[in-house]
Amino acid sequence: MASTYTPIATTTLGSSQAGVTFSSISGYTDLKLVINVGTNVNAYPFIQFNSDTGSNYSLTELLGNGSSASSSRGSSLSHIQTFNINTTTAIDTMVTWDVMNYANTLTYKTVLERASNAGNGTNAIVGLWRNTAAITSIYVGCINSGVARTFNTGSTFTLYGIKAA
Amino acid sequence: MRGTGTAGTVDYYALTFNGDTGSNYSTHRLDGNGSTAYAQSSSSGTSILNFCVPNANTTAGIFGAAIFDILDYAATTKNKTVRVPSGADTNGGGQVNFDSGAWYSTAAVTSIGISVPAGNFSQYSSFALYGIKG
Repeated sequence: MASTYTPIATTTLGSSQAGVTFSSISGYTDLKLVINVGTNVNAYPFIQFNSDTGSNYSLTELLGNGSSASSSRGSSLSHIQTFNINTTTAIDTMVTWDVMNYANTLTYKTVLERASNAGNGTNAIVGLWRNTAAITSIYVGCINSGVARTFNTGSTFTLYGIKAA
Repeated sequence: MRGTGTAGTVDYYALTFNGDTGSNYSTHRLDGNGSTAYAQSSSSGTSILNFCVPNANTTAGIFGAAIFDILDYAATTKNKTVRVPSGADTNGGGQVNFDSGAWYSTAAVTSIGISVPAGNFSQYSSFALYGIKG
């Protein structure tokens, strides 16, 4: 029987930090990355694959902010990012990324993201990495207007592997 | 998933259970196309469906994705509900979806069919079924 949600690695920040890297990823069919994070400034969590900082990412977003729903798009980006997670109160944001068929070397990689913050809203994103390389590492960072920000102490990051039969 | 269709850029998948092609399905869709968020629904349909299958008019290598969560699939006393986040981004086009679907049958789900009615799935499309045990 196929095993589901095998934890590959988990990190809990002991001090504020700009990001976390999961590396040497192999042996699974799909990946699920789950983070529960906070910031003290305006910041947008993002992911990059295989240390690629080129303009090879894009996304389409569906966002609800408590009063209205909207959709937006970003093309030729340097990462796939979610919404601003900073709030005036200590409300962490949960973000999940599903990375299907991450190890194949024949297709670009498509990612499904979901984020929820009781203070700011909820969203869904489909993201694209235009590269056929197998994903072997994932970097999770946060940024605002091109300036790196830091996640708060206590933020958690867990990468799960899912293996097909 | 990627399809061989040649109309537009993104085609829809069709999900069915137990080979049932009758008008026994409905779908509620909350979608974003990059500029507008919108909601739609269909009832008495022959499948659960939404658009996330890039077709032959998109750049080679681009594939869409969908996750179908089928809760209590083996129950024989209730209709079946499915939750489906899905989407396809084409670096300038595409859409993201958050849907629910229903199959109006109390039969246990013993088989699942997925197709792209506008053509065939392209090579390198991949499908995995996982069981989650309580």
